[in-house]
This record gives sequence, C-alpha cells and structure tokens, in this order.
Amino acid sequence: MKRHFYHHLIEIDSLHLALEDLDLEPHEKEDLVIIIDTNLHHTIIAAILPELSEDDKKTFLSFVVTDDQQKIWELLTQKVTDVESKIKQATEQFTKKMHEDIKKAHTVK
Amino acid sequence: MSQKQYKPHYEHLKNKWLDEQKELQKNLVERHKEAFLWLEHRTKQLMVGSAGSLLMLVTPVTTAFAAQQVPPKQISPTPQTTLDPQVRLIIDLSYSLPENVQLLTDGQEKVVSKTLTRYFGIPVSPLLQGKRLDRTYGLIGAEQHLMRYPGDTMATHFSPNDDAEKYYSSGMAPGRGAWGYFANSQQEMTEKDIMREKYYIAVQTFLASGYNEHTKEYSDFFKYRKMLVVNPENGKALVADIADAGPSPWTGKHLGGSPEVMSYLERQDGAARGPVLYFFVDDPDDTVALGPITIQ
Repeated sequence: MKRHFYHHLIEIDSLHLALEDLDLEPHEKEDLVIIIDTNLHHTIIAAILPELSEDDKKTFLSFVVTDDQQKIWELLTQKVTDVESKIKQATEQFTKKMHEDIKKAHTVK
Repeated sequence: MSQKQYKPHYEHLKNKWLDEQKELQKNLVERHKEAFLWLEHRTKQLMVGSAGSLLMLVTPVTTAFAAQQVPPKQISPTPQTTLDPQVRLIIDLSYSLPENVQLLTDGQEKVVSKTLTRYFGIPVSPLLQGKRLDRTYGLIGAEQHLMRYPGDTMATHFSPNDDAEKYYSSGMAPGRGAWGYFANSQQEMTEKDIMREKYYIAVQTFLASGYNEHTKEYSDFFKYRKMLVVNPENGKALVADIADAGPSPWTGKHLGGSPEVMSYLERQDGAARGPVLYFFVDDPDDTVALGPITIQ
C-alpha cells in the first residue's frame, strides 16, 4: 500500500476492522477501502491548504504530485503551526464519521 | 444477460462515500482554484473538465488496480471478479500489512487472521489456548530435512513419489528436531509422521511470552502445532506443523521452513529468505491436512 506523507500520523486499522465485520465480498471490501483512502487523502489536503498562502499552496501541491515527502514536511513544518495535530484531528473526525456510516450500514437491508 | 447482485450495505456505503468524494473534490477545487489551475497548467497532463479531474493530480494511488486512475464514479467491482483468487488475496493483505517486515499491531493481526480464515476456510488466529509466538509476520529461511527415525538418511528419506532430485540437495540436519524423532523406527513411521517432517517449520518458541516460566507446558503446546504459512507476495499458502525450534535471533530470520515448504511458497530470495505470515490453525479434531492449501 502506498505510504503518503501523512502515513505515520494516521490510524485507520479500526475502519478496516469495522469493514471486516460487515458481510462483504473481498472485492466489495477492496472497493470501499480504496474509496476511504481517497476520501481521507482529500480530507487531509483540505485541512492543510487553508493554512497556506497561495504560493505555498502551489508549492505544496507540486510536492504532493511528485510525492516528495521530505520537501512536503520541510514546507509544512515551516509554514503551518502544529501541522501534525491538524492532520491527526482531521483524520479522527473523518474516521469517526466513517465508523458511524459503517454502523448504520449494518441496518441496511 | 444477468446482472451481478451486490450486497445492499455495500451499495449503500459505496454510493454514499462516492457522493461525499465528489462533494469533497468540488469544494476543494472551488476553494483553492488558483492553486489547482496553476498545477494543471504546470503539469499539462489533464483535460480539465471537472473538479474531479483536477483532483486526480493529487489523488492517492493505493493499489496496483487503483493505479488505473479510474474516475471515482466508475469504480466497479465487476472487472475485479475475474481476478485470480491469489491476486485478490495479495491485494487484500496489502491493505493490512506494513511495507516492511515488522511486528504487526493487534489490529493488523486481527484483520489478517480474519482475512486468511475467510480465504482458506480454516480458522486461524495469532493466539490459541492463551499462547502465541512473539510475532506472526517474519522472515522465513531455509532449513534442512530432519531425521524422522533413528538411521534415517538422505538415501532413505524419499519415497518413489517424492521429487527427490529437487529436495536432495538441501541435505539433512545433523541433529534431531526439537521434539526428537518423528517415529521410533522406519517400520513404525506413519503417513502422518512423513507429512509432519515434509511440511515442518521451525519457529522461535523460546521467544514466546511465558515460555521460560512454563517451558514444559509451552513445549507440549507447540509440538507439531499446525500453522497456516502464507507468502503475502504470491498468495501461496500451506498448513505446516512446528517440528523444530529456531532459528537463533542473531540470524535475522524469524522462522525456518523445510525444503518442501520453501519450495512451495517460492519463498527464497538470493539470501534464501523472505517474508511470510504464520498463524495458528485451530484444529482440535485434527481434520486439517498438512501441505499446500488453496483458496476456497
């Protein structure tokens, strides 16, 4: 699985576990995991961009495209106060909502 | 033509989360349009027609099959149903396993054991009867054949049906396994004894928590205990039994496999070792056969 620049800050095993408890075919689980990964990625990008100036946004996005994780972190630690906490907080909110969705999905007939 | 049916809760979640994905993308691009347009202009890779296409620039590529960069609404299980089950298993495991071989978290072990149970149709677990090894994901190295009875040699080791030529070169360990001979004599050796040696693994029983305090109890528990051993990189798996203790931690390896185990798993790189998953098989009635196992 690809490791994104925020990989060390996120903990989404619980979501994979919650999906395991749903009666899903393997390919169905795979689809949902991919959607979760993508939505989390966008959520984290959305949490970071408002903290940056227009020029820094461009620099940040170009580093994300090339997956230059060292430069991403050099930029973020310089420009965003407490960036790790912000990423963790965004992830926690995202994970909480996903869990609620999965919980509700148990009742879908 | 019949339409494949998907589970309603899967459809519900997929549609809900894809709608949210679309909204996320739309908001993100609207709020930071200048930066995304600049990025698009700079890369000159995309046809800009929607918010989603701009976001594709920074969208994660999570797996080989996701790497096709299928637009979100087109994510469909249909093409994947033709995937080889072993490929499907590899993909499924990749969601849970770390990039490098390391100790798995409780959560990872739980997901992996459930995944393996589902794929192979036998209950597996990192913990059995309150006992566990120190790890479930490690580097396996090649072991030699074990003497099955007093006087067993390379000349007597193979039956006519065995691929002796293939496995002869591995040679025989000078000592016996951790629990001695498999049988008292050639005459007393059963088919079960033969299979136990053929598909044996050596694990670091001595590193198990509680082993030093309750050595006899743990030794009895580990003796010929069945484990599902899986190569997560090719999806090949077999049921092996613990018939030896080792290897020493200084080797950098975490377990060893008989020549037959290593050959089947194709688990030998240039250094004659590679990563495998190994979980206890819960088989109280001894109904699970040793040897290669296929996905159900």
